[in-house]
Amino acid sequence: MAVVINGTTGIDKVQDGSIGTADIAADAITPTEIDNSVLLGRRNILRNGGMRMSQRNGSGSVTHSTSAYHIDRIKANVAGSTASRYSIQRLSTNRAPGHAHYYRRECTTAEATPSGTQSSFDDHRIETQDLSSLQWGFSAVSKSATLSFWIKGNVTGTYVVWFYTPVGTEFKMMTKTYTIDAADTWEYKTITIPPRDDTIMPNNVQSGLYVRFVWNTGTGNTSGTQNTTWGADSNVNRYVGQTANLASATGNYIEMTGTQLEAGTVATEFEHRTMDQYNFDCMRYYYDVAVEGGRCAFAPGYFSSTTSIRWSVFTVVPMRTTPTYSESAVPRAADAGSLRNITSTTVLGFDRNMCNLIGVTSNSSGSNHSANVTMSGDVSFGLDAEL
Amino acid sequence: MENEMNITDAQYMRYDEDSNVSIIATIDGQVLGVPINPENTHYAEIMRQVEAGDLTIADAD
Repeated sequence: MAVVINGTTGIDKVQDGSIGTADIAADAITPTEIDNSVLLGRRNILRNGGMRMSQRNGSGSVTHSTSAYHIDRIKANVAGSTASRYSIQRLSTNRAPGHAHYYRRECTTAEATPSGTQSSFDDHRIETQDLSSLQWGFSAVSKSATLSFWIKGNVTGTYVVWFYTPVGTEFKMMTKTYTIDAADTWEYKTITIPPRDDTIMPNNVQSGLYVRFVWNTGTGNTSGTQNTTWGADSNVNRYVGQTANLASATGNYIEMTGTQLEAGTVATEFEHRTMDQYNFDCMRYYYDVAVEGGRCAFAPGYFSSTTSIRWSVFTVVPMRTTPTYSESAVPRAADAGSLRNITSTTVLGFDRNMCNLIGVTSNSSGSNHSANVTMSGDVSFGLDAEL
Repeated sequence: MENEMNITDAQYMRYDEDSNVSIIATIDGQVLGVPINPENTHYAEIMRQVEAGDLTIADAD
């Protein structure tokens, strides 16, 4: 006989030791119930979901006119020659419940009526090897994925999240929508997508999944049919359902945080990570080295010819792949009493966390002579292995 | 496919005795040192634009 405990004021007490393992049937507690009640470790496939890392800009605001990363791991894109422009900033005031930081995107140049494929959007791009928990391609065990996030904005309406898998013989996409129901109010959203099982997800450092938040788009991306399951990539189908236009007027904004993608159909509580974990997560893709407080010799080097100098820097974690080098000012070689500008610097090789660089100088005191690589002033260089 | 990056002034670089070891290019307004590695996003986009006929890489000096 089934017994249902249905006390109107709860259960006073279950006697100590009265429920043993044998008293719990094998399927009495399902994973869904566990997911709903127990904090499990390392569930969030996305990196910087709490928007805590902003190596390039700190808490500063930047207006972007090209597709680029500003907040770590979030690529802010412009496409289709859109005229819309936004400022991007990480903030910590008026934040979402339970979160320390959030990301703000505010329209600085409006595009009231986007045409064609004119669009602006944010991408979270995930390595194939980081999708292993979804087991896509193995239909017997593959799992759905659930996206959850907090969002606030002044433009209510329907927005698209576009999912894209650039793997297999045919790249495939899926479109999901959500609504901002109330203006200027933090809202919690969840979206679940099915597995893509027609091809086995590779296990490498390339992109396996894009999670794209669309902010404005022209009809060139909305005039087709919405793919609610995995289907062929098509421009006209990509953002079907998006009716909100965040670029309709300057000052329009959205704020986001707590972005999480996890295996299964249940959105569990956001997985907060420690700051060192945020650093490690993000420095796999971008490593900013700032030389602050004046002159600093940060690496020993040597002249491999009279006009080429080689030196190494060690990254905090192994980067995804051989990175691109950028700098805010040229480094210099301190050699035999002279400072020589180093130009055309690039990454010669990369292994684990050792990055070997090479650059060109004016004539040195001689091949195989040693030198210290220096920077002066508050300058920085970056190593970029983003997707 | 639309170009994701605005790439200009791409040139192979040769250092010392090495053959072409990298590409120096202006990408979205910033001069970058791009390694020759297909897994590198900048290099992949440079080569995609070259194949599309949108970009030419100058030989090393």
